[in-house]
Amino acid sequence: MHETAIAMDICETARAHVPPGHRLVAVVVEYGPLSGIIPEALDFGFSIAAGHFDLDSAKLEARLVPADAECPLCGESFSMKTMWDDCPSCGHAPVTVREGGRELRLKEIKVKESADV
Amino acid sequence: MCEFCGCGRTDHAHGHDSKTIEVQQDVLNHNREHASNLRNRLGEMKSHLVNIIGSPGCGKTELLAALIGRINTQRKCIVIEGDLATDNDAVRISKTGAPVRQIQTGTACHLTAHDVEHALGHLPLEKECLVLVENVGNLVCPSMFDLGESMRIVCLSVTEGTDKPQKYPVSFREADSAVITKSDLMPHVDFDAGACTRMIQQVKPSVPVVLTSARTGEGIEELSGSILKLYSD
Repeated sequence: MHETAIAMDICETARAHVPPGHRLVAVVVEYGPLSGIIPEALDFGFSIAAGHFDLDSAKLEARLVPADAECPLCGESFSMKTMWDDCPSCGHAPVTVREGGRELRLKEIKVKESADV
Repeated sequence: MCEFCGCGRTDHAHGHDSKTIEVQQDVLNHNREHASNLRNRLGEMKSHLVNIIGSPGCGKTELLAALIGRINTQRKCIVIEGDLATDNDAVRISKTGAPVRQIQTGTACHLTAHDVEHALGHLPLEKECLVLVENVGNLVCPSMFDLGESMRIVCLSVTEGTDKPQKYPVSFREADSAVITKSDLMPHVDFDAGACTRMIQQVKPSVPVVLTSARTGEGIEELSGSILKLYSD
């Protein structure tokens, strides 16, 4: 459950970006197939972390960013969505990741004006 | 009362639409900054850190003790032990004579670079020494956290099953060296070292795989040699 520790980092960073007089309603996180993130676990971790940071009303949106992969055998280029993806053309594994895959970034936050301002 | 947000105001002068703010920040940035500081500090001292990862009970502590026995005549070894609770492993390592600091993570399933920086503050770090870090017993979470290491060793024992690299690919993908421990138990278990090595190298094609036993000493010289090579590279 390293996702909880990661969710704590997300909340801390997100909170620092909330302008005065606003509250956080959502965080958008982009993750690659090799980031080691399970979105369901991150969502669970986020629900705990958000409570810890007084961000209870905030929601997490995790978006997969596929990696560029290539089959070393048949040369097929494809978009890799999980780390277990075999070559979609010939079924060979392992495939070569050409670019990306390890991304784990807080892309953006969504805020609303605070009710009590 | 405002029916959208329940704010108690009736003039609706404040907006109810959400506004998007770009952040574009790496989530593990905080850990990476600490790891980078550690790497710079160790680099200035021509010292190296080795991060040892593996499941609970796979033999990390015994492997460490065997490595220290082999290496400390050439490089001063200092050790950081990570566990959820107890200082049992630090007590075991202290018998080798190496300075050791135990980190008790409580509920956290991995060490962070900040934990290591803090622990190093309590240890006699010298020029050209070797910092051995035994991570919290876990084959998943520690693989995401850079500790400023020069080398990452991932361990699995022969009792854990041949197909472990397929079940837990992330750790092996991020490893600089893979170590199969407890080879002395091979006659008693159904473990295929050749097949396991192939599975590890399917996940990470170039990674060296060393078969070891802390009890018989098998593979310890080879592994020590690859660690000491860090100082000549």
